[in-house]
Amino acid sequence: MLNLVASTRLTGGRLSLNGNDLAEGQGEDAEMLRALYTAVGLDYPKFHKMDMYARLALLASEPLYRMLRADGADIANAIGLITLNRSGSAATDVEHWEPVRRGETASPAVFVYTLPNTGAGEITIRHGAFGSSICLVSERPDCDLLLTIADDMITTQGMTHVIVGWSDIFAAPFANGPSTTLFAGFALIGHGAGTPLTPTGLQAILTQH
Amino acid sequence: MAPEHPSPQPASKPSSRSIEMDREELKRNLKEQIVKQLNLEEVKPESIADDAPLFGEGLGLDSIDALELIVLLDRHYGIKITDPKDGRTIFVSVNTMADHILAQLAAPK
Repeated sequence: MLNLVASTRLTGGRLSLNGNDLAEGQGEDAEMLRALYTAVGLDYPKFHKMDMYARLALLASEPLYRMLRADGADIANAIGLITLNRSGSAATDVEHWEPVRRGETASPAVFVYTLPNTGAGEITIRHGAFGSSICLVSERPDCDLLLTIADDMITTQGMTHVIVGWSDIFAAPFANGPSTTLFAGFALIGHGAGTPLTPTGLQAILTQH
Repeated sequence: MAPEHPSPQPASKPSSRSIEMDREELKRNLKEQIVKQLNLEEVKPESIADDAPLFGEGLGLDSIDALELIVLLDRHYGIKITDPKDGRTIFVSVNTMADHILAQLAAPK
């Protein structure tokens, strides 16, 4: 049986842990994420070099890794990670393409983030996590599949816990909505203490309401 | 018949004092450009020492930053580095970057 240990959500400029606000950031997307970075007390200069998607994923997952570290979890070897998004790196792809379209030299620092799994990459680098990980791109989270993967990571791959996170930045050229819609939801799942987690319960954490 | 274009006038040789002033301004500009282009938000340009190592124990730049510095030279100074290995000597510090830029700008085209 999989249990929910804790969850975070980052939406509307607020980062919450288990439903309780941890930090708030004002302003446009980049400004808001920078304010949250300061508010949660992150000291990780590389954050400012990341694309918006990786910053979003890193910030939203940070409280869960802090909790694991405080509990003495083996983050290096025994924490699995499943990251999900809908838009992949579309927003960064557009940013990369703009100078190319103008005939200018593209930025290598932008180019390296034109992959959908950069959030997972930056999270695992920051926390020195070498456990099982997977990145999935889909229109919406398939929570039955996600719980199956998480259970497999725990029962057959030696993970004690799995962090499952949806984070997405919707790029304007591919949508009829606002320029970007930032949302992230992360769940820390394990076999031990926690609240029984159903696919519906996971869906509520990973979906913007 | 008069030439269509006037003959180019030999450039006047700048004094050593003006070169030094240009060099100081160039270094200030470089520091601001490095901070901006490399998104070093927690670094103030004026805190970068002219001879501080850009990589390793200095600013702690990485391999992607090295590529960004190549782009910086191209965008701001029109200087192309075709062999990234040249960066090992050019990107040692702000001083060496300024030396390279001044040498390239002074070199005959």
